[in-house]
Amino acid sequence: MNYIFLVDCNSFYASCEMIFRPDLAGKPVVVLSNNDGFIIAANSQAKSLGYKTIEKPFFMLEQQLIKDKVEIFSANFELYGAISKRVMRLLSELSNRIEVYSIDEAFLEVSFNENQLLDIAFYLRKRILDEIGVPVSVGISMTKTLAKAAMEIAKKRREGVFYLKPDQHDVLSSIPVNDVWGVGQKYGEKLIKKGVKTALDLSRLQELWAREHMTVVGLRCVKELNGVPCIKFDSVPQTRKTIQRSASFGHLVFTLSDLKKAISIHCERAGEKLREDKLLSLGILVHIHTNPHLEEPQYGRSAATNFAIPTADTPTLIKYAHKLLEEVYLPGYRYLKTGVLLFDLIEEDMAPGNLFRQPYIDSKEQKLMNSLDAVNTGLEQGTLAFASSGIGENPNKMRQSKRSPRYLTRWSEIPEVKAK
Amino acid sequence: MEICKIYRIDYSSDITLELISNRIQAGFPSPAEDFEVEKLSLADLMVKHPNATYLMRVKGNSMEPEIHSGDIVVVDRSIEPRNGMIIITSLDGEFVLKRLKISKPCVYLVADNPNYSPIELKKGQELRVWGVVIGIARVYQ
Repeated sequence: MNYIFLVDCNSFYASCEMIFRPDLAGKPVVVLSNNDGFIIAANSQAKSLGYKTIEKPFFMLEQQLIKDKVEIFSANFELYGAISKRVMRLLSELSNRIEVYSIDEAFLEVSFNENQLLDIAFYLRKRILDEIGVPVSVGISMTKTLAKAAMEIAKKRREGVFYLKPDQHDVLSSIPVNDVWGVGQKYGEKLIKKGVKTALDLSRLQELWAREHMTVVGLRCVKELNGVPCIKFDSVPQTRKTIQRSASFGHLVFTLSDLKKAISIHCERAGEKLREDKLLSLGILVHIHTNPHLEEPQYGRSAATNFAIPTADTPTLIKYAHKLLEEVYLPGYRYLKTGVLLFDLIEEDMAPGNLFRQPYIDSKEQKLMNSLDAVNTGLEQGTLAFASSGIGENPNKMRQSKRSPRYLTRWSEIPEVKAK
Repeated sequence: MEICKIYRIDYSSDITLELISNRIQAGFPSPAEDFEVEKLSLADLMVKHPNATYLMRVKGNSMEPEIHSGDIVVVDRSIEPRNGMIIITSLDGEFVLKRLKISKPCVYLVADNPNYSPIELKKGQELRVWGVVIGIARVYQ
């Protein structure tokens, strides 16, 4: 029999930080987003003090956090990515049918006897905790949607594991319809109006009715809740659809030239990502906005355009981004944030030709970009930069005042052990 | 016989041409060609469980003469600690390096350097082993 395991790391970013800090055992820990904007992870101790993720900006909470003696970390994604890889590699020892759903979550398809399921889940949990140091929860069932529901229960249990059978009506009736994977707020409200309030109600809908009122998506939910797998298992990660690079300024910015410098840096980073993933972009969007938490005139605008040919050439990205910025920029406001979004991404080898223009692939621009990336990968990011990003200064420089060492990826930052 | 997959040779590909021309220049294929396997790697020698292995830098001389200050220890967290092994544990919130000595009914954390006195674990006191040292890396500049 095939079963779906959903494995989810508990307060993942906070747990990663605690691996290398034995002094933090049992203490409240939070992790902040890029630029120290918001709390993006809180361990159970911090949660029980009332701290939630993405609620209020960090600057409004800072004093209270210090008073509560909460350990505060700036995001260290290089570390979290490395730990995530270890977790996923360990999971793939159990089954090669693995779908990495996010940095801290994966679906596994396994075939075992029903009476082995809990033992295997506990074994997985123990190994990930002992060998990597991250606590995980495991939700088990016959379909992805049911495994997601099982996870909700597993997270509330001390043992962190729950196996949900499709006929467990008491459990299904305790799950609000809004919380069923794939339903979402919009459908949820519609359903509640029609008297469908829980996962159990939803599972009992006639398939025809579901199809008519909620399209295929709804039909899929109903079937999945009844233990019939309908959602494809995606072992191969999909090509990304967009690349986004944005950041708040360390301080507010007035001038077009400062905004241009910032947007140039975003273009450099986005270009690197494009080339790393062997993608070309067809479109670019630029956005700017002021600080909504300040009582002063507010302004925000975005603009988008298409490239003449699909490209991954940083100077081209910068040229278009600057044009768009000139269009949206209004003087007289104090800007907090700017960013670029590359959309309509295609794989390099899928690029359509253009009779009148030389394509980007194999052009001298591409060769230049490749050598640029080679230099920047070997050294600290931004060693070779475009003059338009402003040399020797970076108005965009991330605020990461409390970042921990990159313990797993930099020789100079590996953890220290005392021989004393 | 079952045919698994049929490959079509693409004569226009640059790669094929290059391979052929290399062969021609060489005159004879190298007798070592079939024996060219991957190079030896120190990481493969030292690391048995890459998922569970961590590198740490040592500070202090309590494990002399075996381990010097500045050495990098290779720590495996999937190994069961046994008598005589060098382990990483935490004392007062810090990672420390000690040798595990079990002589029943007592458990000791000892230093190799005689200038440091052993720690005896009291009855009921819990010992948390973070990992087991499975190797040392030392680079002479």
